[in-house]
Amino acid sequence: MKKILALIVFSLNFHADLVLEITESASKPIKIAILEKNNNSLAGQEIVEIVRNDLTRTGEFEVIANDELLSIPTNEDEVIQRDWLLLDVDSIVFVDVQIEENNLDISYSIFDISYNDTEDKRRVLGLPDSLRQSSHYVSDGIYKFFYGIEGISSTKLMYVTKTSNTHKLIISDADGFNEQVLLKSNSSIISPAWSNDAEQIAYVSFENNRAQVFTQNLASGQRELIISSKSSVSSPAWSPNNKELAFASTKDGNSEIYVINLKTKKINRLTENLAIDTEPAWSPDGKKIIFTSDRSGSPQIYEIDVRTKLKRRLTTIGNYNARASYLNKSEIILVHRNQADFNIASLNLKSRELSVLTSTKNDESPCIAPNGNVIIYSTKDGNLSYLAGVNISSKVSFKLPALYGELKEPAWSPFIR
Amino acid sequence: MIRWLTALFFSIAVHLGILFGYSAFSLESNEPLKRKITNVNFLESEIDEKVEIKKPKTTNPKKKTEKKDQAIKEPKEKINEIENLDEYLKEEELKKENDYKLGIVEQISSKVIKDIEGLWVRPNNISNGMFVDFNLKLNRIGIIESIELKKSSGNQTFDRAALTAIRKYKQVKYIRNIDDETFRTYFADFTLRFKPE
Repeated sequence: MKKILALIVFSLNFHADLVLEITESASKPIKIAILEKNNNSLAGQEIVEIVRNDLTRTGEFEVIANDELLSIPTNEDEVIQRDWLLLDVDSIVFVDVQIEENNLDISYSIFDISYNDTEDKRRVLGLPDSLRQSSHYVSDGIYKFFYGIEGISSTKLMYVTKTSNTHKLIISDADGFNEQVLLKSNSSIISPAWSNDAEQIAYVSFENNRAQVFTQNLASGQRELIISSKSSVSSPAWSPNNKELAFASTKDGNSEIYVINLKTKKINRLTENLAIDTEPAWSPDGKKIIFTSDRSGSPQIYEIDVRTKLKRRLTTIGNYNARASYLNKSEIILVHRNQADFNIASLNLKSRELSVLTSTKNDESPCIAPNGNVIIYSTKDGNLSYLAGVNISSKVSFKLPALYGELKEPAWSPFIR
Repeated sequence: MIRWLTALFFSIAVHLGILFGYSAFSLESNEPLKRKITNVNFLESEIDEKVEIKKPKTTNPKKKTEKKDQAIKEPKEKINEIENLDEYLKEEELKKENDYKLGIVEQISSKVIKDIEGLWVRPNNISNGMFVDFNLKLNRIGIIESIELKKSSGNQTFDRAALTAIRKYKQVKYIRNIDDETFRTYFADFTLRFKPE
């Protein structure tokens, strides 16, 4: 008896608590299949196709095509795990579409192959004419399930196009579909910006032969002239609480940064020097503004405290850094000249490490998706300008279809609920 | 006659004297000659030295016992040394064996980490210092028989992504060829921590 006890103690004493630490993750996308459940309706096929494109565009999913599948189950019970393990598929998304009178009912479930069971079930309700938008919500739900942050398929893009002498301010879905023209003009339209509640926009229009800042309510279409000046006005930027607009203007001689209270119309001048200060962008907490200034002899990014007006220079690498905006409280993105190329880069404000994110050559006007994981910018290929994007996590780049001779100044909407 | 007898007596006495003297001188003279030839002095001194060497053995019993003690001690120490050497060799052997086992454990661990890193697609909503611990129990051929969430990160997506990687891994193939003790000590039950850098 004592021997057995001794052996037990011995074995207990010699059990080592081995801890293996996994610190790196695969840089590969999650492999999934998207299948319509039960029936093969046209609406179901269309939704599956939209979701497939949305997820593929992120670069963080590999959506396997139906003709590559070894079996096509129409529901969870028909899944033959072996077939899917052979294809190294992580999950199957079953999409069930029901259209009844004025209701579009999309249910989807995520079937985990290694678990061999359903992990999650969700539902999106909409109107039949909101099929695309409802599909984007499905895509965003799937994205969030796997990556933990909101997807951006259901958000909107705003940009300016120019064809011949016609300038248009357009809003579209994040995939470029569903374009709606907000303003059509023979004069330039620049610097479109979304309010943080996605209910209003601001832009500079030269329709009256001078630079004027307008705000426009998207639901009602109502426009309001905020700033009208014979001098130059540009780059309106909404404060996080939507109560103020920061902008650059030459109204006092040279270009300076100002903030206007939208209710009282009171203007507060933030910068005061002989250099050009322009392109303001608010910090997420609304306490600071970053802007471009050539006060050091070349365009560089500076940060100013809105209350104390204390400034500091943020960029030190390179002789051209401009058009900055906050990616988060400790990181900004900007246009950085890298030898002869103009690229989008990110700058860590703590380490001061600058990382070039794009490989195209003439990048400008970067803007950040509301989930902070995708940057869209305009770029040029010869005479053709188009919108391109880069996913920060997957580093995957993408292009939006070039439908216009000139397409510039993209602005990404906040999340739309 | 008396004169002849006296002369004879003296003659005999003289001859006896000569004979005695000769014999006496001849004996004495042999000795020094012999000494000279054989270098007895040296030999004597050598003998004396030898005696002196021998003397302690016979005349100094204390020294003799010390020597004896030394003679007794030396084999004991030698025996102890040999016993220590055995232990030392055993220890060395154990250490080597242990190092070898640890080497195997390290090799297998590295492979497991690399494999799982290849399967883990981490989410995008990770905060600094976030980690999740899973306790894994394997059977003797390495098949993962149970996965238990030991310490959650507090982030459901993060925990689930890690769990998916483990589920996909299914089996630690490398442990099939290790000995039972190493398996039992290290791999039958171990912790997998997902802690992105």
